[in-house]
Amino acid sequence: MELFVRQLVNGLALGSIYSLVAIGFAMVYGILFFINFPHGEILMMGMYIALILMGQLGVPFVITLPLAMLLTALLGMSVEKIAYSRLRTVRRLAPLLSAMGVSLAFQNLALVIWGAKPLPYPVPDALRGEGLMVVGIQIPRSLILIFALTIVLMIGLQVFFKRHIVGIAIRAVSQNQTSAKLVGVNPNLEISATFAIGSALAAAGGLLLGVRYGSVYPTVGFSLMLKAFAACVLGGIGSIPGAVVGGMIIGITETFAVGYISSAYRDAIAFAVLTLVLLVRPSGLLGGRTEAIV
Amino acid sequence: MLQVKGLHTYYGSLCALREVSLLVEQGQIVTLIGANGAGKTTLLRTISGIIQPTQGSITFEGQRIDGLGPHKIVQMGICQVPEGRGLFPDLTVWENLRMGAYTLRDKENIEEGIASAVEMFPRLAERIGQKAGTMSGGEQQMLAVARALVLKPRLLMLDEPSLGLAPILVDQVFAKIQEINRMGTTILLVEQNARRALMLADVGYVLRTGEVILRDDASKLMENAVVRESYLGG
Amino acid sequence: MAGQESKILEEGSRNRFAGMLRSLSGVDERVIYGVILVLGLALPLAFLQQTYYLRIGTLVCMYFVLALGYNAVVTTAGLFDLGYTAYFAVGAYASALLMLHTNLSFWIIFPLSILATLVYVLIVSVPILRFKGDYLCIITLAFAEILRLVLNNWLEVTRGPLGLPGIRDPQIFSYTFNSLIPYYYLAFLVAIAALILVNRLTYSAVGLRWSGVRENPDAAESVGINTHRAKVHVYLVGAGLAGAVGAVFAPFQGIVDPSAAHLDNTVIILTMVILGGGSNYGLLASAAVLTVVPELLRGLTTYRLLALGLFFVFIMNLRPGGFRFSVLKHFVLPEWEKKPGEDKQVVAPAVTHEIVFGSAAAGKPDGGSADVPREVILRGENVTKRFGGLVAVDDVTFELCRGEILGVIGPNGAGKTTLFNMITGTYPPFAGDIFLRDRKITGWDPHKIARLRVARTFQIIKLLPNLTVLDNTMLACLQESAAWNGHSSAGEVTRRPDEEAIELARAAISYVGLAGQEDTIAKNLSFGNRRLLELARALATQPYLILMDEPASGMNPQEVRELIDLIRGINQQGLSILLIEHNMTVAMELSDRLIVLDHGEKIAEGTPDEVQQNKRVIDAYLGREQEVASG
Repeated sequence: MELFVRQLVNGLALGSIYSLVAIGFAMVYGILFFINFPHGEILMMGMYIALILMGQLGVPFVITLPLAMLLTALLGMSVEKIAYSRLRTVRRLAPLLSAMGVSLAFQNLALVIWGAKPLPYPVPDALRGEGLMVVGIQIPRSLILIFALTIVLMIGLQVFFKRHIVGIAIRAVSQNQTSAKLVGVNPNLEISATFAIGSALAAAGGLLLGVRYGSVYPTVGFSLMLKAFAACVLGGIGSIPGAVVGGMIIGITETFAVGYISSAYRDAIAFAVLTLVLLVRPSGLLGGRTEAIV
Repeated sequence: MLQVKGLHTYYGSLCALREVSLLVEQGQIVTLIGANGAGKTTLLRTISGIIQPTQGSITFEGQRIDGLGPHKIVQMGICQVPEGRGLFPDLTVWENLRMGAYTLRDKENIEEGIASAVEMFPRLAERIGQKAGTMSGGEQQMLAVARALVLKPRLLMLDEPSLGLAPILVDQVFAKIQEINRMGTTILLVEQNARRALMLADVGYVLRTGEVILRDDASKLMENAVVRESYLGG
Repeated sequence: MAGQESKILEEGSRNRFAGMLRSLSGVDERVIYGVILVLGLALPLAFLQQTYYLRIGTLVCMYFVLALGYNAVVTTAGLFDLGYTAYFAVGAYASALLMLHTNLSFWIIFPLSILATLVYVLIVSVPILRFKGDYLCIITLAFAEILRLVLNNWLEVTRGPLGLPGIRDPQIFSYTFNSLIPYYYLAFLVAIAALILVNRLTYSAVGLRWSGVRENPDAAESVGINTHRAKVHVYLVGAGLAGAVGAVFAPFQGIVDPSAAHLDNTVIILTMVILGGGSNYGLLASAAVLTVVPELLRGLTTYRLLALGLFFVFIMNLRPGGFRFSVLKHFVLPEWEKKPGEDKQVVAPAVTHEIVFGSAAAGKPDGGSADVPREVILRGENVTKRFGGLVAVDDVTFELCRGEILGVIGPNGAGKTTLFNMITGTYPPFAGDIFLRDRKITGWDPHKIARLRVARTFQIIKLLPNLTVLDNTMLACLQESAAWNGHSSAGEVTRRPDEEAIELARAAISYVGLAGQEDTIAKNLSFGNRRLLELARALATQPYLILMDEPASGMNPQEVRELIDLIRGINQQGLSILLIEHNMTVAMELSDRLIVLDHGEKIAEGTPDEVQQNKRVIDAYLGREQEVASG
């Protein structure tokens, strides 16, 4: 029983991280109907940036987190401006190839600069060790951080989408771009904002991942991106609540599978889920936008 | 107030508007009628800045506006209620109205604009938190017009507001348009329902395959055989 | 600069299809192939002692085949598969496992490995073919990654990351492949075979179908092409080639490991395809360059990939429209692209084929030909369509008789196009049935309906923009010639389409008035001519019934007149027509009978005169007279 609860908690934590990454992915798809390949690589760069801040520059964690998120947001916006913005009206293949190019470039840039070996993440003392007692088991502080941060970010996101004009405008643009133009929206601003927020959230997720699992390596972004994609498809592509639900389910499933079956195929779990969903119900659990899929 | 001269607009290699000229004077209701595919929506989109014309000019209150971006045109006081309502289906009534005020910076202006739009359509107040996509056709049309009124435009353009509405609702919509006009807003109305549009308007233009073929006082156009012919051929 | 480049590309693609019929008989092409053949065969002799260069040569051959296969899938059929290396891996592992665990001869293992790859394709890739562009892209990527994970972790079979070493060498009779030379010749042989296979397929009916899938699947379906099947075919070819290379690679390398399924491989092959620009020479050249250069820069793999990534971003943003951009084509090969017949005058060759439509019994069912019975060829009964809560078409019943022109009119949003789409099979009715000469076709797929000699044109013109007028029309003539429908033998599959099919296409083109324009690229046609081309394509299926969705839309009065004459002409030749039109001149002049829709319901039916007097119709169009007192 204790094992079960422990696994559940771990799964929720992992799921939270996946959700944060998946939200950014879903946002970009919702507004541009575009699969942002380098999402994972941008996240990875964010993780390394945080590593430099904390590890080399000695910046405390409390400052590193928002700083890394900000820098990653800028990175995400730049990628959009440089690699995608000119290709919005062009045949599908060109922006995809450009995206792939960014992915490739970042991955190998990281390899060149930092090497393939996983680098250890400096976990601040405050986050070490056990924290609260819940349902008879000790929950590590790092997990508490994950839960707390995720909840804070999600609430913040909700507020942003509901109250702030840019948030409302992002939703508007993804629902009817022409009408948005007719009320005076310049889609470029909203698109940049989408990339910025998505990248920032992903960076948060990546940082939490690093703190929890202790290391970062250049290819960490690749499998995260595929899992984010799986989460989005599971929840309904383009839908943000869907991305969250999808991320949670994948996180929990993966943890349980690893705990009870084997850890060899841990990454494959998400893909197995993806395959199943695609075969049975491509529109996902919460029903996404199938018109762009089939 | 609004003058369109010799406008040419293309959709790819297709000439959608050819030598189109139009004059809307302040305070008027001008209607543009014609069969489907005549280019009515293209004309409105060109005025709103969504499409760029290849030739000709559009002047609004003395200023050239052709070639300006849509956000500029909106800021100058021209708002459009697009064909098919063009609402944001997953946004609430309030959020749709808030989007109407997108170009406003001042919080007071925004609130005032939304309030006056809702005043025009009291039914919307009841549904302020409802998602636009779940409302009935008539209510959606009201919301679409209200959204365009938030900025208190000097020229309001409507693209086929009667589309898909039951006759009773069409009457209500047209009555509202008249009311809006009486309160000082100039109206450019594009319609397929020629009769109703001509009953309401002061001046009418008839568009056929991208060209203006007729212009007259609305009352005279109603009797005109050419109008009937251009719709039913024969 | 950009304009010139695209012109070069266009020239190269001009009449790929019909033009290449004559290709191998041209002196230029023969010489080129001959030179390559001789050089290739002689290579080992030059490098007898330097096994390093032999190795590179072998790798070049292998990459060339991979590029050919990938090119077919991505460039020809337009399917962006990012998991291509998986097929190579399957072939390699199949070969390795069989070589290690059985005593079978390599010459049996080779085809078995290819078979394994094909089976893999059928099980894994085919189900995901229905997904579009971006989705397909990332799903194939995910699947390749799954394969890599399996290869990495299924220790009992694949021994994981360590791979499978010690793969024995093939043997012919008693001679064992104990040096690089036989491997080289084997790879070379595979390359030649692959080149011939891909060439023959691409420049045949099969290849044209693939182009149809790429350019405009709806258009292809409307002339009877089963696009799903065409996609499966291109996959079988592309993946099969990859599997073949994998099968040879296993004994060549002596070891296989999971990196065979790594994305990096796909990226390299993708780069070759991009650089090679879709031409075989380009592919060969880029395969050579991309194999040789990295080999020389051995230690710089990471930098290579980094540069590659930046290159992709750079190139796509520089020339966004130019996916078929080819550096090499521009510098090296323009003169080689010249086809033998290019210098002939542009004179429309005499049309030898009379275009005959459907039923031979011509003439309209009027009093003049009383012995022609009134035969209903298209019938809809209580056809209804719902989209969510909205009823788009409400219980509509109609009939179309042979030789008749039935017009469907109604105000905007009346449901005309919805009705039309149900007849052509774009989507099924919610209720009701549609009959084609007593055969129930409700819910049939578009290509099946098209094969019954029912043609259609589209409201928004659907052409294959980058192909010539002739190729576009040929799309409709493919059933006349070799059809890869599972019933034909291998010989029939690769046979070039009949001259007869080409003549049929020419006849259709000439009939609509586009004679002399066969070589014009479709996207360069004027709007009116594009409509005519679509009509030519429709007519080339030799239909007995044609469904036209707003054919006059966007035409100027002069063009409209010509269109009316044209439609009248084909009707008088016996073609029955169902016509949706907004342009009243066209509808009233052409139609024998009309049905009027409003808000999804049929509100009137009759001759043009009757309909024009009908009060309900007048109200529907011009608006109601009475004001209803509001409550």
